[in-house]
Amino acid sequence: MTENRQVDLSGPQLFTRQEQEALGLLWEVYERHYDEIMAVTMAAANSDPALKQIMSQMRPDQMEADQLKSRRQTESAMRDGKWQPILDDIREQGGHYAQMGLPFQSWFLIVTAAQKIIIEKLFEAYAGDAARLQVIVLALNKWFFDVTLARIGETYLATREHVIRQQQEAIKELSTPVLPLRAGLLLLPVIGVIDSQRARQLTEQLLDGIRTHRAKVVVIDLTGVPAVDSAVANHLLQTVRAAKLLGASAVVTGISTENAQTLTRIGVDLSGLVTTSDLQSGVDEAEWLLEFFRGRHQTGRDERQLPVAER
Amino acid sequence: MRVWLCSAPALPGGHLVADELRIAVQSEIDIVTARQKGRALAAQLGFASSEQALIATAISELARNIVQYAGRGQVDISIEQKNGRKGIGVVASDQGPGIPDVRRALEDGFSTGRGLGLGLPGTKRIMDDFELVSEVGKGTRVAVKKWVH
Amino acid sequence: MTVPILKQGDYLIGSIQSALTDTDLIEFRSALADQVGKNRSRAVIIDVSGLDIIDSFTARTLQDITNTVKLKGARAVVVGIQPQVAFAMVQLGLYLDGVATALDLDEGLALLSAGAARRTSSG
Repeated sequence: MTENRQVDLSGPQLFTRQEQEALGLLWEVYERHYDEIMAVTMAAANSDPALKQIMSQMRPDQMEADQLKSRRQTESAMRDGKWQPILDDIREQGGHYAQMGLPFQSWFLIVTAAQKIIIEKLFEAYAGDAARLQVIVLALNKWFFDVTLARIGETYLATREHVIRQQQEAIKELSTPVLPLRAGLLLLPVIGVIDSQRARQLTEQLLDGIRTHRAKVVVIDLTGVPAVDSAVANHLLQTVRAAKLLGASAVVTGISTENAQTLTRIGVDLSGLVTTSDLQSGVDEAEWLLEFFRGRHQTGRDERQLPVAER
Repeated sequence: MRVWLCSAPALPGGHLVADELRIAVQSEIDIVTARQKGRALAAQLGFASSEQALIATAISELARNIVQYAGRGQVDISIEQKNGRKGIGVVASDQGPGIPDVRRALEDGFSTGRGLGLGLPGTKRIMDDFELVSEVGKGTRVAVKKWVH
Repeated sequence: MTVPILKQGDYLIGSIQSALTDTDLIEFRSALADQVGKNRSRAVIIDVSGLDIIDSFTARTLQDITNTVKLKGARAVVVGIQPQVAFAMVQLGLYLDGVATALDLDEGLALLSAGAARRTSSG
């Protein structure tokens, strides 16, 4: 316990000197009971369907090599204070498994199983020395939770965000943005979450579509948008205004009356918009507008229903 | 129509990046020059042409503000680099009357459909980074950046 | 640089090219008003398809032109705003409220004649 050893404290100061010493002691216990600790941890992993699945797909020799590497890194970190390699490895693993879709829950399961068995062994080793036992257990918890799980959590968040972005890109590419319904009439079905990047893309596609198809009326359908909040509404208003500059009027469908009322209540000015809550009546409205713009309109139809600019 | 409002302390020093275009602005022709040069640089940097239009419009607005309110000033256009990304930087500065209430000047009426004279909020919306410093009686400096995506 | 104004029957057509200064625009506005009076034109079509940006001054000018010719009993239509220009305009808050717009010259003419037909039938 008082052996001379080199402690490298030049790296990131994750642990205090006292904590680092405690981890050194922890490592001794860990090594002494390594096989048992491994067995218990593996058993816990096997009890988790997701983990079991992943492990079953790994080659045994690969798994062994990984474990050995991990053991060496742990030694290097806990005994000698060289943390960078193991921290890098944790991030890498975190990213790897996040991409594979391993739930974060599984990590928690393994860590708590290991923690439990290790603490049992610590209790045995330091039965008569409560003060030291406490210091070591605290250091263990810090290592497992504050350092390891926290890093894995961060990596998961970052990876998830990355994956979501990729999925959104894919959705965007797959979806057909602009559909000509008939001469002069376009339909733009909007699907999914709308951020400003996506809104910009949709607007550009709509404007190009108006030019290509010489559309006079566009129906913008928001039925597929999960949440039409004020941000989305403002993007929508901008799109409608831009379409107007190209000589096209817009009918917006798929916003429920309730939703529209809420938006108005929070200050979004929807008064210039022609809206209907369902697509069909929106298309009907659009067709009527088209006829009107062509100079043939049914008498008796109330002109007050026209978009403001045309009055 | 355009309300100039007041604010902050000293004008910070500029920062020089390689390849700067300095355009003295004191007449309308300079507005055109500034936005054409800006657009050309944006094209060189690889901005999509819709973004080039945005950048050119923003430059036009900033340069016009100089001519209209300060009489003369300067527009500096530069290539920016950050974290391996490239971008365009524009600094429009003058020693004109300054903006008394910056907050009001940046207020956005776009959701209520109010139209012209909103050069600053619109510019802020168009560009990725936006910095405005102004002192009544001393002058105004607007620094904006847009990064290539 | 002056903007050429063409007469086509009852209509006047002016095409604004890029690189116009503010003064050029103001001169165009006056010239157009003048010509409307002289020719008793019923409408003016302003073609901005050559503009790669429309900033607040240009937008204001277009609005002024619309108002001015209206005082002389004529309509105005702005045609040819490019998609990217339209996008930049709305980002900047330039909506051309009160200004009739159409995709291009053909659509502008169609708009004017449909409007005329409507007025006749409801008149």
